[in-house]
Amino acid sequence: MSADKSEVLQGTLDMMILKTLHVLGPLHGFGIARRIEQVSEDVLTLNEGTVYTSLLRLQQQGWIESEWGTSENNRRSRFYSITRRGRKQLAVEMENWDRISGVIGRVLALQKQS
Amino acid sequence: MRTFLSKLCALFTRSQSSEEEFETHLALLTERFVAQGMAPEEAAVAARRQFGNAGLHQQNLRDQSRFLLLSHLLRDLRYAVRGMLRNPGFAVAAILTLALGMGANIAVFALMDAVLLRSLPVADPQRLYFVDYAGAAGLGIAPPYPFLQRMQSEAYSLQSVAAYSGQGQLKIRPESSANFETANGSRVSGCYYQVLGLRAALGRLLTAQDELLRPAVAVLSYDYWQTRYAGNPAVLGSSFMLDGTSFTIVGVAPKGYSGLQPGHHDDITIPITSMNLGPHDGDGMLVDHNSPWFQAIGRLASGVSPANARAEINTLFQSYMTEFPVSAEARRDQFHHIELVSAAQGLDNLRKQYARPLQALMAVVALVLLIACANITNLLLARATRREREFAVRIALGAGRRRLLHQLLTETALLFFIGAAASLAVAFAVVRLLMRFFSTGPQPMQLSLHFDGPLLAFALALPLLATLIFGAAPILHVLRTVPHAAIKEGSRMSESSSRMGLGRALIVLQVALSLILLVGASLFLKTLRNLHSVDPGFSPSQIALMQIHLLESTYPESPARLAAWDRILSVVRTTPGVQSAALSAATPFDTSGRHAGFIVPGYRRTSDVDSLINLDHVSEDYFKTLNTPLLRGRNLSASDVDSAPHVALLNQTAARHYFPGRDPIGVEIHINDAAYRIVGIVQDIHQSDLREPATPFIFLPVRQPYDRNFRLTLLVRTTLKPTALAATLTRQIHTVAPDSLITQPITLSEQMDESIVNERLISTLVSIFSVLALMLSAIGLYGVIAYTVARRTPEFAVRLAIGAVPQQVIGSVLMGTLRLLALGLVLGVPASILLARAARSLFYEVTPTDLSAQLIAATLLSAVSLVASVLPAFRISRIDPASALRAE
Repeated sequence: MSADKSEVLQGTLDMMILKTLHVLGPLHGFGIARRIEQVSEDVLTLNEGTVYTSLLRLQQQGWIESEWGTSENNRRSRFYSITRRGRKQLAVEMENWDRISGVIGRVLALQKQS
Repeated sequence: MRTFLSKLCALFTRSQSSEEEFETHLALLTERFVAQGMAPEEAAVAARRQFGNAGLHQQNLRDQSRFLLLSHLLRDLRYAVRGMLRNPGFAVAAILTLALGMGANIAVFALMDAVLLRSLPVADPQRLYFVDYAGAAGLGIAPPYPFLQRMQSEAYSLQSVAAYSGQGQLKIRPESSANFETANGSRVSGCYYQVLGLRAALGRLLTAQDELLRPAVAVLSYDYWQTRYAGNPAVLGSSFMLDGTSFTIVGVAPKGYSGLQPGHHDDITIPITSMNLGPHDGDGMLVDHNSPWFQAIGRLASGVSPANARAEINTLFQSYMTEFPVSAEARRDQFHHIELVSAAQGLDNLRKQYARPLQALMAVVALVLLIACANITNLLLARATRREREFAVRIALGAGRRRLLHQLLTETALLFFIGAAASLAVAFAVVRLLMRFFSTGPQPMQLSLHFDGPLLAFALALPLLATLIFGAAPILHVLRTVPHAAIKEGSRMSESSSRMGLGRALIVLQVALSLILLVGASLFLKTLRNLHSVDPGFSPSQIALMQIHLLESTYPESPARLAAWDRILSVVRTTPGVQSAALSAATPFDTSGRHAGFIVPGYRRTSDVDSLINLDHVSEDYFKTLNTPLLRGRNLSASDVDSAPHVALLNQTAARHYFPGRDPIGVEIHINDAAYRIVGIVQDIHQSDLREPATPFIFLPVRQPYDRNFRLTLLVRTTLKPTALAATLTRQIHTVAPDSLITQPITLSEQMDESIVNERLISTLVSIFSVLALMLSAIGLYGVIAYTVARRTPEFAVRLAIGAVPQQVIGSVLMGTLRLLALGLVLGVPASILLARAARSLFYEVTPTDLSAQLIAATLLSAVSLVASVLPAFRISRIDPASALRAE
């Protein structure tokens, strides 16, 4: 059960990062973690470092790219931004999500009626 | 390009930079907690807790990278396999080419290793040396036995030195058996195994004490123990009879050691003093001061250099020669000084015999490999070009070039490694074939070919190298592809002409190499035919041979033996199917050679060698059985017995050489001290070499023996199949002469074939390889023409559309082929002449500049090339100009 949960989380996390970068523009790892914390509340209170594995995966897929820069406390860090392919992927995923949630919604609605 | 490189670098520096990232992240977290009111240390701890285990995260990052690489590799492999299945023709052609080309190389290399390169499996073989006498005539063997004994006691530069007399056939009767059998035996000094530094696999090995023969002991080889005694440890303590003495087996030599001569196995090793036993030809040799008959192998004492050892032993030798002088001529030509010859690889008879042919073979397979590689390159080039559009599209869609490079590399590597695996199978088959060639005949060569470390490394290095060299060209080309230009339909690469040039050059090379091989094959076949048509002086067909040994213990006296031989001859002659039968000490091409001192009254010897003549003892009907005519005088008969006047026959060459202008008939000559009168002259028989002219020969009657005659060969001319007859004859002979051993049944034709095994081997192999080369060239040519036609289809379509006749277009393509062919021939013909000259010692009565071979080869090549070009050229006529142009 927990394995399924982490797979879903993996996929969800990747999507959340993509969406975050799409909406907020280039961010470093810390900034991404803060945004996700806001949005997902208890999903990532501990083990914040796992965001970097997702970031690597997204880079390997070619959906985000990174560049070195300076953070707000004058330290070096990598700044990630979404790529054109990443934007395309995001659009595809959102479409999928809409379709699935629509179907599920209709199924649930059916049950309620009978 | 810069971003590409930077990304490549980034991959390798990732782990370092992640550390920095993590540190920044942790610092920011800590600051946040501090801003929320925590104390700095608390904040740091809380930050760590929130971040999680940094080391674990690093590990996950590494795993993620590795996972990606692996999944990419698997995906590339799947893609490569699918690609191969889609284009099975290409894949099969490529793999077959590789398998045949590399397989042949590996097999010949394994053979070369076994024959030429391998060291003896003994301790520190570099410190072992043979002690040989040497003079103007060259290198000999060991000086006489009394000198060995002197070395053993007085040569301080040698830790120990042993005598080795090998490859004798011992007639033994194991205690468990009632019959005698033969085994390969070697007689050695007691310290033999000590010189070699070997330890027993079972029991113990020989020691100096064993030379006393109290009791007589023997050591078995490991392989003989396994095959003859089934590896039973109870063999220790069992015994066998040899020369009337009981020998006890005390040990087994270590696995992998089979004697000092590569290619021959010493089954049983016994002390050299066993020469003194029994009434046979050996006794007296150990005290003979002047006869060399064995090899001496010594181990250098520690700290002594070979030069110093040689100097010391030479000093001993010079004083020995003063004590036991020989003729001045012998002193100068043979017993002049001592040489130390490295014994690390054992005796070099095998190497001397097979070195040139093996080197020729290696050259041949190298040529075949070159052709194979040229073919592969062409195939790969053609294929890469076909896929240009596919690659261009993928690059345009955003596929990384690095990924494409990986994928192409994987495809090529997969191809080559499948080819390599197949080539190992081919190598096994070729090696088995070669071994079968070598292991026939009376002295079968037993080579142990190991497919071990260095060989496998060689086998793997080849495909790796090939992948890099021949796979690189197409891959590099793809990377230089400009996507837009490629996608545009009907484009022609400007580089295509240079690539076409490479493809064409490769074809020319292939044609030239194939020509060389074909010429070589026809020259070798001609050699073989010439050798077969040499008149050996007798009719070899339908003659069966058998060696008969009379046991010394049963027939110790000469009269008893002569009576036995008589009985044997008469029973054989009455056997149905036997047309004529005779006995002889030696038969043509049996690789034996017996000389004796020959004194002719009135003849001045010109050299020491001139005083020796080849000797054979024959019975009546010997020349009748062989179909060798008598030229003058009378033949030997059954009445030439010991009590009758001693007579002899000479061959033509002997008569001409020793009696120029005189009639030898009636002259009394001396074989050392014995007197014989010449009564007849026979035609020359080639005794040992088809290439060399016959040597002087004297034939003595078997009943007036000069030597002890325990062993003679039976010759039988028969209408039946020789194998069937052998069994019958064996039975018959045993009824009249019990306690006789019959070995090595063979036909005279087979025995003759043995003497030209080199030539037979080389011609077979070169013929096979040249056919292979021809096939490969045809495949290559077909591939290139097909590719040309496919690429130039639009151009041809245009030409056809504006009114050209298909035949004209086909004609122009075929002209292109002919040009390539002509270039290849122009290159190949002079090269083949040069090589033929270099290899002329391998040929027989073949002139290297004889162009008939070149003509045949060129015709064959042209015919095959034209056939290979016809099919793709024919496709031109099927081009529908309209649709082809529409596709533009």
